[in-house]
Amino acid sequence: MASKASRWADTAEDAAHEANRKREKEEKKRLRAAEKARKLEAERQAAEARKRAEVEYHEDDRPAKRRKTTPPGDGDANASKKKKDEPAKLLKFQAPPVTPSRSVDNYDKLNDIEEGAYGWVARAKEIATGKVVALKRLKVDPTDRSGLPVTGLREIQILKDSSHRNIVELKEVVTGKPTSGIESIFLVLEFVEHDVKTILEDMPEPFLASEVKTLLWQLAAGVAYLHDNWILHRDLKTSNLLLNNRGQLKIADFGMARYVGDPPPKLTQLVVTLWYRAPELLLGATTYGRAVDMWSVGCIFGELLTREPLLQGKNEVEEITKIFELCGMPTDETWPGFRRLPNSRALRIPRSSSSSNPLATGSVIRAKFPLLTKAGCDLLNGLLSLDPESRPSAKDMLAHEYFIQDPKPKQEAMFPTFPSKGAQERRRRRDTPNAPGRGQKAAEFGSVDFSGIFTGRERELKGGGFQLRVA
Amino acid sequence: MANPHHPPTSLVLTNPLATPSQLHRRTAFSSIPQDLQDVIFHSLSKLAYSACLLLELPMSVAAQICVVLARYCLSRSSASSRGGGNELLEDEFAHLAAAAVYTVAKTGSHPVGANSVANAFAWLGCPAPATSASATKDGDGRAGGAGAVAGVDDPREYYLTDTDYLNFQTVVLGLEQKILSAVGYDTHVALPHGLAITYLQALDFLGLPSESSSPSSSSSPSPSPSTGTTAKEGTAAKTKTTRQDLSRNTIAYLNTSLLSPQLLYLTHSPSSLAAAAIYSAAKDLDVKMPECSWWEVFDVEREELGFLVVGMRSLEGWVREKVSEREEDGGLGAGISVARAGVLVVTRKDVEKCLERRGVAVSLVTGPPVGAMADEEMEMMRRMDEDMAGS
Repeated sequence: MASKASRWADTAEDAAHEANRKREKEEKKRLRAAEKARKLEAERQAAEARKRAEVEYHEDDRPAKRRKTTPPGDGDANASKKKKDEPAKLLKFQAPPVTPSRSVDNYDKLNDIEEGAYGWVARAKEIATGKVVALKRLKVDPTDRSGLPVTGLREIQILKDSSHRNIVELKEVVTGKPTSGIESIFLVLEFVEHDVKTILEDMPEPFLASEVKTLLWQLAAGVAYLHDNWILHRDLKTSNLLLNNRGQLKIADFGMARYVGDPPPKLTQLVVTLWYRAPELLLGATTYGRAVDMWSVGCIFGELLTREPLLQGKNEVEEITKIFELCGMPTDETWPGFRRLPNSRALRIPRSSSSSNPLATGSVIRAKFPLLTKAGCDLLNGLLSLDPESRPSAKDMLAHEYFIQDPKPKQEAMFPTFPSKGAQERRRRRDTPNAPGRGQKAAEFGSVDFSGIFTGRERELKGGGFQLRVA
Repeated sequence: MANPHHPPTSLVLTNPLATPSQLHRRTAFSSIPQDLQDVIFHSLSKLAYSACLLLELPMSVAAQICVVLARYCLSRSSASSRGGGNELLEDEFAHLAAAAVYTVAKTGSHPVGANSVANAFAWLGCPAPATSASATKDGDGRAGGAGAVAGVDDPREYYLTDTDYLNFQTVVLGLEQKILSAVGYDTHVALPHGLAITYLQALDFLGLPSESSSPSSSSSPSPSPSTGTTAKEGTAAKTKTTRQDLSRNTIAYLNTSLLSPQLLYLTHSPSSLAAAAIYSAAKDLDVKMPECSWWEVFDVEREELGFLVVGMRSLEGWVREKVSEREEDGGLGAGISVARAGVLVVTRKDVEKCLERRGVAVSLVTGPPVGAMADEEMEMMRRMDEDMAGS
């Protein structure tokens, strides 16, 4: 419903907002005036009190001393004086209590969203509050000798430790009735309407340059937060990026994520979905770092531009081939030390390829994205550097010129909306017919009934709606 | 757009805290007297902490484990509305500690295998879950630890067989979910250590002379909360206090508080803990503090600070007292044995014996006849095996 005629609903809302804002402004004005009056009054009282105090405690110098510290006649003298007179206001945060997990019975299942390799996700409603959430069940293998799945526990731990607008929020963990001795565990996550992959698949035309910037900027912001907190996501891909109807992107699915230390521990190379896997992982590196996530960000960048996954290899060998096709062959200059990686011996890479013909073996990224600005190309090139050391960090990326240049990133609130698959909203049907193939028989009209020609109209009108697409 | 590098302060500055009613229920309705609960908690966290040292886990993980254990103890011992007994006694304490170490380390940056955990606990004097064989092998299961204190290091005492490993795993894995479920799967812990360093900087305490300029006596660089020596370690000998002394002492206080039976990490926010540790450390070293009420800058009340300082400083004496009253009647008696690395190891059997001596009717939740502990444990393991097999 939200998607239908959202444009017009927006304007109506806008008007309401405008009115609201006006009201708020006036309210603030009034408050300010009242505050001023109050301050004056307080000042007067304070002055009186001081006089009294000076009379009363002439011998005892403590209160007098305290007051003397107030610089007289300063602009903010009022504020500091007030602070000195009252007991200090201490900032106390509301601490949650230590409680056992609640039962999953507090939620009502609405519909299944997906059943993935990692677990089952459903849309559900909290009975007490009516809030819609996503429930994700952990797959628990009772025969596993290492206990609860480490991926699930890591996801819980990392999401509990994280709080960022571009990272999906874990509200709580609830447990279900014990089946065969082991309780089932559900993560209660905020419900986000879309994932970027489905949107890319369904949208009739690609995102505008400004929209790509917004999405990419948010992705980089989330990744920067994770990396700042020593977390590697290790499975960034468009299907793990969620997007809500307010244009906010949220990184989800931390099943592969883990904390790393410094020096980096030995890690498994079997991470990241193949199409988003960095070349050093494909070459078998066991010590790797944040750069693997940045490679995935680069792949996502490309995918946002073309709506197609950038490097779709069928297996590891094909994937690395596609990478070299796009980014050029590695040389000792472009990627020092790649020959020391375990799997690089299997590759037969000519030693002097770059010196002989750099054009034939260099990167073709610029050519592949002709519509991308120079800064955009520079960023994509950087993210897709073969050498992990030369990829920019997420923080570097946020400061990149690409996000400063016109067109500016689109405001999130101005983001187009889409029908949500997870909420089972009707989506625009887009099965356009294929172009006629060679040798196909030309259609014969025969007898045609035109009486039904207008019946579908009402539905059509309700469709995706009119969108004015501006950068 | 909003600044992406700004973690909301609540994650850094707040921990789940015990509610007053939880604390009340813990003291008022539990079948275990408060002093025994204190000893049990201290023993649990000390065991877990020592195991972390053996496993070379980072301090942050060790602290996280201790706090999670404290949350578990609180959650279990205050949730006794159903039984009236104390659910803490359902499981052997050493196994709880082991499960906490295993589970929490698993999600962090330094996971450890279950067998390594088993080794660490065996060395600390907690044998693998008693099978009939191992139960007869070393009596009440603490002979190994006692021997080690006397200076005899016999590897046979902490050698584990494959069966031991298997039993250990089974028990630990069973406890894993129990612990996590009891704490609501909330293993996020906001530690005060980082805050303390920031506060030290803010107070300009790190402007003190550095160690490198004044050669120091050989003090170990790793602050450990071995309650015996840390707090006042190596300060009397020196004339000039270095900033390393002060920060080390501060961190030592924070680490020591992890083992406090007052559950300080569950009653106070990280900022208060950090301020109190700095106060205590500075007092110990006679470092001049600002004369104003500087703790208010860090949102700590005076009363709270005073309470925490007393709590932190009393722990050492409390442990000494408990150790010295080992043989006395009414205390834990022979209950506490000082095992390797100065860990007080308390077992369920000790608690029962002690309760018996005091004439308290033992009404354990699992309610086996006293003295049939090994059988009860066998029974539990059998049940667990059945569960595993049945699923």
